[in-house]
Amino acid sequence: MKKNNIIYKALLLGITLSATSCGKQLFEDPYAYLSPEQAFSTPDRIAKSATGLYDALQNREFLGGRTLIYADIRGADCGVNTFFGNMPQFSTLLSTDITVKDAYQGGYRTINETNLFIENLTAKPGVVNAAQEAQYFGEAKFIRALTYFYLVNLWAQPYNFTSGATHAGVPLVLKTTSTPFSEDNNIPRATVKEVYDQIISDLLAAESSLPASSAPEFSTVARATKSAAQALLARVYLYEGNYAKALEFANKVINTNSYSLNASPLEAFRNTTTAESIFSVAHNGGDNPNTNNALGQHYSPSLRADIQVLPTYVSLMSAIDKRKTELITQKNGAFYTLKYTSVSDWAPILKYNEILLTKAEALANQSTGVSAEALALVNVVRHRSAPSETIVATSKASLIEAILKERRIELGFEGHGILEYLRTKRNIPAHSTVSEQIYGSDFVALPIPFDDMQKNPNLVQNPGY
Amino acid sequence: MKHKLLSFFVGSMILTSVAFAQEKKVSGRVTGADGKPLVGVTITVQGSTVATQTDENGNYSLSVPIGKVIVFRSVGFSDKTLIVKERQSAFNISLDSNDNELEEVVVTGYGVRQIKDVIGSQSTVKGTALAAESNVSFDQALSGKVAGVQIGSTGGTLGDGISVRIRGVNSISSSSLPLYVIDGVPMNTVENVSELNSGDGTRFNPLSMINSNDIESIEVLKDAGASVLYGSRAANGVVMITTKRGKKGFNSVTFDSKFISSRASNLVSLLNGDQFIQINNEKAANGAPRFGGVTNVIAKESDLNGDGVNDRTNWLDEIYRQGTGFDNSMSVSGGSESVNYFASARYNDQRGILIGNDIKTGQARMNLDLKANSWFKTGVSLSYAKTKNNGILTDRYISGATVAGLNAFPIVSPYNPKNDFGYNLNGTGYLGLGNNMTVINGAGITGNIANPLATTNLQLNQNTPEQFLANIYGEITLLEGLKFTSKFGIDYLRNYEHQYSHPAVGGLGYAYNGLIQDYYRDNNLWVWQNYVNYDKTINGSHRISATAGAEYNYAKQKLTYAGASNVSDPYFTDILDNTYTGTVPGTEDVMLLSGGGLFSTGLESYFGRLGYSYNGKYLLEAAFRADAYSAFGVNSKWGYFPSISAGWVASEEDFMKSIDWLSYFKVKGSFGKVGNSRGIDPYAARTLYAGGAYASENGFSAYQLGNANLQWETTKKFDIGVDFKVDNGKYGFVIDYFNNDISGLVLDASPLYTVGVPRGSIYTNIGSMYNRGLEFTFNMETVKTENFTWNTSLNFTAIKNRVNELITANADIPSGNSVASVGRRLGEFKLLQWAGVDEQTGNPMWYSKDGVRKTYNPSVATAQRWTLDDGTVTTGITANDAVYTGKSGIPKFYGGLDNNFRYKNFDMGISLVYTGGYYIYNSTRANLLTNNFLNNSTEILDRWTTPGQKTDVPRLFLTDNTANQASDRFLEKGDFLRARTISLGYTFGGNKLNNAGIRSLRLYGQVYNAFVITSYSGQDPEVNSNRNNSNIAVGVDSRAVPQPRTYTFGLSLTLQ
Repeated sequence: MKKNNIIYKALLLGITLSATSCGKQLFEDPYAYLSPEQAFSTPDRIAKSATGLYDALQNREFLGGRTLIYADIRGADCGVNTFFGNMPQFSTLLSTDITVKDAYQGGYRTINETNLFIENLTAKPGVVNAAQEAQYFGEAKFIRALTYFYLVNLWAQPYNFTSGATHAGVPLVLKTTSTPFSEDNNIPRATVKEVYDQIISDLLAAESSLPASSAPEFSTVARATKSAAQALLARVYLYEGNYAKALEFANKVINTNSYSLNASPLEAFRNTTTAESIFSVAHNGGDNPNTNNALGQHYSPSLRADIQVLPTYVSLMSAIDKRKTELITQKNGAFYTLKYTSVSDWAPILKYNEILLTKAEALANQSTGVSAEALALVNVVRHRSAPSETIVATSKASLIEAILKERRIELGFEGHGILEYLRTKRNIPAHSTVSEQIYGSDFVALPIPFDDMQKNPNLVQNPGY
Repeated sequence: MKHKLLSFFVGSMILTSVAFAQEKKVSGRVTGADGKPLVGVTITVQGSTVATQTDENGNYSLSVPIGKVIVFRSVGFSDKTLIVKERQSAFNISLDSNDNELEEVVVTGYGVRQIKDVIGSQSTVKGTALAAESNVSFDQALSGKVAGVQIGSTGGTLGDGISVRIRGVNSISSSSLPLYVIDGVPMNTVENVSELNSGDGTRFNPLSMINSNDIESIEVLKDAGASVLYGSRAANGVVMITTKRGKKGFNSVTFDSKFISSRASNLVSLLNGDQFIQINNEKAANGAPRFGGVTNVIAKESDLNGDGVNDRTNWLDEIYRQGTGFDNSMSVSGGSESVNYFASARYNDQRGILIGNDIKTGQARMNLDLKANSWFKTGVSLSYAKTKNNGILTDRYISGATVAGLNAFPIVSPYNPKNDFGYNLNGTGYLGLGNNMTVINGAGITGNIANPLATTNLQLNQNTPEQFLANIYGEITLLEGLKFTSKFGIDYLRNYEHQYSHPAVGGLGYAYNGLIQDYYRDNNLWVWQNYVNYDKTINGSHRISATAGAEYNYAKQKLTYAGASNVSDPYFTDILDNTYTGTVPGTEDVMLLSGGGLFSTGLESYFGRLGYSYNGKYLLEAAFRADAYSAFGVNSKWGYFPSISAGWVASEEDFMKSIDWLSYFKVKGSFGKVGNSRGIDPYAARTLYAGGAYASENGFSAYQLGNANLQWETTKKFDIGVDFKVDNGKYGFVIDYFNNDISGLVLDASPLYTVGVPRGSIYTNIGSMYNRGLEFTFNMETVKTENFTWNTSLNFTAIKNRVNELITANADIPSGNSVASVGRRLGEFKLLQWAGVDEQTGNPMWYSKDGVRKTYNPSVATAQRWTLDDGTVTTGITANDAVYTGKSGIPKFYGGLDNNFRYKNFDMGISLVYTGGYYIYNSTRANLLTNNFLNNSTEILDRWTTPGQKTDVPRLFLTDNTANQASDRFLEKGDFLRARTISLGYTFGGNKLNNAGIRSLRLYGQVYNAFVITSYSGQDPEVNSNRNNSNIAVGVDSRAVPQPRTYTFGLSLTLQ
């Protein structure tokens, strides 16, 4: 009897213990993620990782739209609003500002994705064919260049602030790290020239490897093309004051004959892929910067309406100007732009109208007198919106002034705001409750975030912060 | 808690007397051989069903027929019988311990231990102390009850999480919440079931789904000696919940019913309509230089509700209300020689103090144990709970009640009968501001203000969580003293979160023409434990006890999201076929409103413990656990956690026995290593790519940079303490010194932004910190007479915290205005230094980092605004001028004082809690001094108006809020003493009730939060706007909901 008892017990114990070898079932691979090896293992997956570059470009704090907003609310045409804290302000903006930090961090996050992609693809040679590979590298470099363009122009004084642009730009990070906390990452600020040179070198590489654009469709507007690289190069050279090169690249875009102005200035904002759009950051109902970061949320009077348009901007246009009649509205006594109306609006980066005006500005500056071609170009833009109004210019200076005014009207709220004043050495006029900001004064460049200043002894803060 | 094995049902004060015909009431006290009162001794009348139990002081009373035999029985003691004779009514009984039977035991990790063998630092709270409270969640009732445990409320919203800190904040980036173990099974670590609004809008803490009436006791394991068997999860301490089980020969049915009434205890004082008009027009008049030199009248009368008089609204009266609640529960309990059972059900329905905030919970439990034969015992514990929580957005959202309600103009009505839904809403769904000016020269002077009534009454923010907790065990006695236990437990938590945004209300509803968002959560956890326990006394003086076992723990979480936009009619508030288009309104663009997430974690563990005791005098114990956790790096998956403890019961020594006044004296110490893995992402160590779509193209993008060496935080815990009793147990003391040295802190650390890592941060084991402190507990039988008893219990904890090392020595980890900084206390505030208001100009002043006073004049051009004392223009005060204040939001000391009185059938309790040595950043106050066109607190009435005026509130200036920027102006001492509960009860007994089949009836009333003594100027010093699990930015008051003052009236009825 007693013996049986022990046998039963031993049996029960044995059954239980033998079933305890379940340790292996406890540990599972992630359901929701891939390893980097998996993400670059086949041509199809590499193609998706390349698409992921644009996902990084959509960064909601940066080129998902917010960077464009920051350039504009620090310009002269937006009402000072409370939503973005001190971002529209100058002397009261602190280096601890969270909006500034988020934008800076967002920009470098995009840069990191491009560097990571370039390294991961380099490590998998031959998985995709050479043309595909070149295109992917080109897209990565275009995105990197575009991101550095906004970083350097918002966080540093403009290119022409010192001769040779030897003043501090932003840290130039061109590779990833596996030791993110090591001192090797304490990269000092490159000079503005070095940053511009990198942007140009990336864009030239992109130009040579990206496909040419044909009919406007998602892949030719929402993804980088040869023309997009050329259009951005035209802008970069214009910012440098290198009018010959600006003209050269503007002409390259024009000469593709792929682009034209739409009949109405509104069209490019309602239809995402028109012949006027060269490059935009795409969004849709499923993929957008959501309710707190979308362009539409901030600008649209029927959404959150954070940003008002100042009467001084509206008064630049006559009563018949379509840019006023179609793109400006009034609500509760304030003006708003109608360029963005929904959370899924695309962020416009490069449009054909800018190329025409860039060409006009380059010609006007190169000419000793009044460039007739430049005047004609600026009138092409004007006549699209106000056919009965013709700009006349009696001197080179007045022509340039007219072109800059036309850029201000035409490209308003598309991320040019403060950059237009600084690149042309103009003061930012007093507007709303903000007093005039002198060209070259301390606060026109954003502060390097306080956290990075603390961590990286090699950084030098912009003066005043 | 201390109790007798197999004697789980502790007689509460409701179980008092029994009487029937020809009977005599007898009473007395039951003590052990040592003279200490014995709790829970069963007293039965032989040959009848009459029974009672001794109370907390060993007292009993019951009515017995003359001549009958009554039996005193308690596990671990020999039975004692006596015959009731005519002239006797008082019997004081002393029970002799029975060495052959089980002794007094306590629940510990993986089994129970003889209490006299326990060396680790472990504290007990009885279930009865929790159940009387009106709080939704039991953990809140631990406040002030246990030395070393700090309970922090995050505000007065129902269902919100509670901050539980055992011996300080023991992490910086990871969670500092303890591990919860229920009936031996570790629970899931979901701290908040909500997902929408990043889980930060409405919140629900699943711990509130445990029925506090079911709790027999709670053990808090504090040092390594007590908690090491939980290894990698023990660093924040362990809270073990034991639920009630039936008891042999003691059948009962108990009903508990409570009525609860609550009110906000203290509210901010806001401007009334007339004051609002005066103050805001003064802002505009002073601000004229910034607005074209024109003096605008911005605040104007309106009559929006159409009642013919100018609108006046007290918004606080609109958003706060009288809370009410009903809480009814029932339990049955009993048992025989081989089976015991406990079952309960509860329905709790509470309306919170904020409009729209209520909670309804139903709970049921069944605990069953079966002794099949002499060697096999089995049992189950099953519980199910379902809650419906109507939540409300409060502090961080435009539509939050304490954002909107505090900002809203008192000169506009909440209602406008001309609008579709009767609420005062403007063209974009925000509060209509009538005739007031909102824009001057293109500059907005106010902001979007939600109408809190429309927001709450038209919209929904609901959580419907369900939790099923179950375990089944089998216990085999292999040899005498050797038991094998296999236990399998599950914790299944699911939640349905439902949010409806109305098309008329600004924000999501307006933007999407009605938006419905649902989240489905499934958290599935199973745990399988197999262990042996051995307990053997050799030669009467050497006692050996041992535990060895394995545990497997698997958890899986699945989230599914669905949404519907552009809804055909506000009548439809759920996702219903064909009632929505799913488009972005005004476009053909279809919103993608579906998504989800899925992950699993595994924990494989082996553990062992060996204890030795010599004559109950010398105690030695060593324990060990090895854990492998799936979240950690391939290079460091396994962690090993040892501890060693020793104790000396000096009072057992012959030379101590002569010291009469010292009845018990024990010295104990422990040292060990435990870990913290809580709050770390499931795949934290890996480099990962995730889906990264670009519009309608699928893509992959980097999700996380991995760290193959990632491991748990390691805490070396040292504890030394004494436990002694004086004057025959009348005074009891427990004093512990502890030192938690935490190294390898898992910091979700941000490298330079320029490194650009995905997520912005990487889990890294760099950083160290310590918490050193002293715990003191004192219990006293202050008065003890026949009719009157008074017990006092005091505890005190002091903690010193220092951060020793961080990822980058010269870079603090900031969180709001607080930092983790090397060489400083965690959560130290780093702020600008306020220098007051210039008496002559009314302009605000600060000190620069170097102590130079600078004045800010908002009236002049930007470049001239900052001046030195001599009037010369200078550079502005910037972030670089912030200094360490030496003040932290984390308390230096805290504790509680309980006094319980009993006079005849009356009982009364007063429970005080206190916390001190910490500061609060009063962001609410800063906000309510705004210069925007919004409502203010009455503090703004002190603003500077005339030269020579001494005040701390600068001259007003429309839209310029530099004066209110974060500085030590708003840093306030938080120290407080709260009358947490005051209760009064009366217990009925006697023949009439007994004849009606009622054993006892107790009526009671309780006031929760009767008063707070503090110098803090805000609503409530026990606040943390950064939720229950923030470690750095603690002590921030940002539009918090104050704790309620609650009145509870209850009755407990026990049937026999």
